[in-house]
Amino acid sequence: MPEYAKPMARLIEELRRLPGIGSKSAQRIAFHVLKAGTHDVERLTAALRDVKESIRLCDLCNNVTEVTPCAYCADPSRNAKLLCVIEGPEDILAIEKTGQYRGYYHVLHGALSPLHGIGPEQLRTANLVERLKSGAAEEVEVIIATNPNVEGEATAVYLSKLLKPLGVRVTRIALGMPVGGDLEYTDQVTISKAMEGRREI
Amino acid sequence: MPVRETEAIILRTYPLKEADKIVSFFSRDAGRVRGVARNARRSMRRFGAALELLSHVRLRYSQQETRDLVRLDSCELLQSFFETQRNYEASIGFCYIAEVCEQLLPEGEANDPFFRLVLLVANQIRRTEQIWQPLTYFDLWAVKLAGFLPRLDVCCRCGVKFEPGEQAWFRPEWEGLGCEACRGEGSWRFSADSRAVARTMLASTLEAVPPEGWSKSRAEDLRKFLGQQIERHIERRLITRPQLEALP
Ligand SMILES: [Zn+2]
Ligand SMILES: [Zn+2]
Repeated sequence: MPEYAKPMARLIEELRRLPGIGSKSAQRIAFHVLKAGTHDVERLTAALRDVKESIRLCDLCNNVTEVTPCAYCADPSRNAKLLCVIEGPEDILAIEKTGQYRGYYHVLHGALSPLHGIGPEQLRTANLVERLKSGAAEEVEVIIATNPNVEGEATAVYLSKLLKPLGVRVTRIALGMPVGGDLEYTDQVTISKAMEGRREI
Repeated sequence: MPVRETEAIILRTYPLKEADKIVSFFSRDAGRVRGVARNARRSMRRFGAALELLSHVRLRYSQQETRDLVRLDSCELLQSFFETQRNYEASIGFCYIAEVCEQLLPEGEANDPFFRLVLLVANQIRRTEQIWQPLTYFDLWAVKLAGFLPRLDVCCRCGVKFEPGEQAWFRPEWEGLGCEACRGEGSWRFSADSRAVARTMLASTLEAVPPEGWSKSRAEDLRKFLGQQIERHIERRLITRPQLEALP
């Protein structure tokens, strides 16, 4: 990296730590900030500070929210017999976009990932267990919608072992053929998962 | 841009920008290599389940002279360990193998015995659904193939030869085992049984020490000793080792 004045180097270094930002992008953003008017920069710093100060996690489901319980948990029109477990808050938006699911959510904030040092203690499951224990657990279906990769699968198996003793029904979203895919070009794991998850039509 | 085709084992993937992945893999012909799988995050079409941890694949990639990263063109899945890793204990075991490979294998150096070792051990975990016997074998041979396995029958401090059935001692800063007289404060015990296990595993096949009835406590001292040797060699701590140790 070329020699920058200390504050500039520090800004570039901080930006580089953001996901998806490499050295070049970090330099570009830093120069943009340097050229921008004081007012614009203040707006940006206020927005950054605001997000940290006003956004928190929902006590019930761990979704990021301004108020707890969050908008989903506070919505009485949702189906209380369905609870969908996902890795991140952004997954809620992906599921909501389908318009098909009307149950509640629980956000783990990660998946079991030994290479990142994330074990069962790091997953946010304590309030999930509490929530299920406090209600009529035997009537609830917990849908595990962690990602269809090794971390997501290991997490799903771990959760089913944790939750089944509470009397809930635990299901896993179907893994398998992507819509618009092509059987001939699909690998054997994906096809065997699709076979496992087949259903009568 | 020369195109290469090779058998490989996937060691790790990282997200790159919005749609791509960086893939670290251990190729049979060229050793450890890092490359970019374009669009692997967005589209499942070209890579599917093939880029999951420790997948055994046939890869085609192009080398770009000016860059350290190769470009993955296609990836055919030869054998997957996806199902095996649904078990959390096995998934930590697989991550451990991948981490040791990433840290221990130099970039761009083919190592066929090491390649066969990884496949052998991964298949043993799949078949037996237990990790401790295969991982002990992996640790032992990984250290041996990397060239820094010390003698396990003499004291590395004073050179005295251990009697059969005699226990030994070890500590992280030593390059080998120590005898009763040299051990000093705070060293760990190394059982005679573990020396026997090591001897058998080094002299014959994985099957020579039957996997049945292996609990975590069997040869735990041997794995700890070898883990310390690996960490001393790579000059850093392994992330996955404490997670293995924390398993019940
Ligand atoms: Zn909530
Ligand atoms: Zn000695």
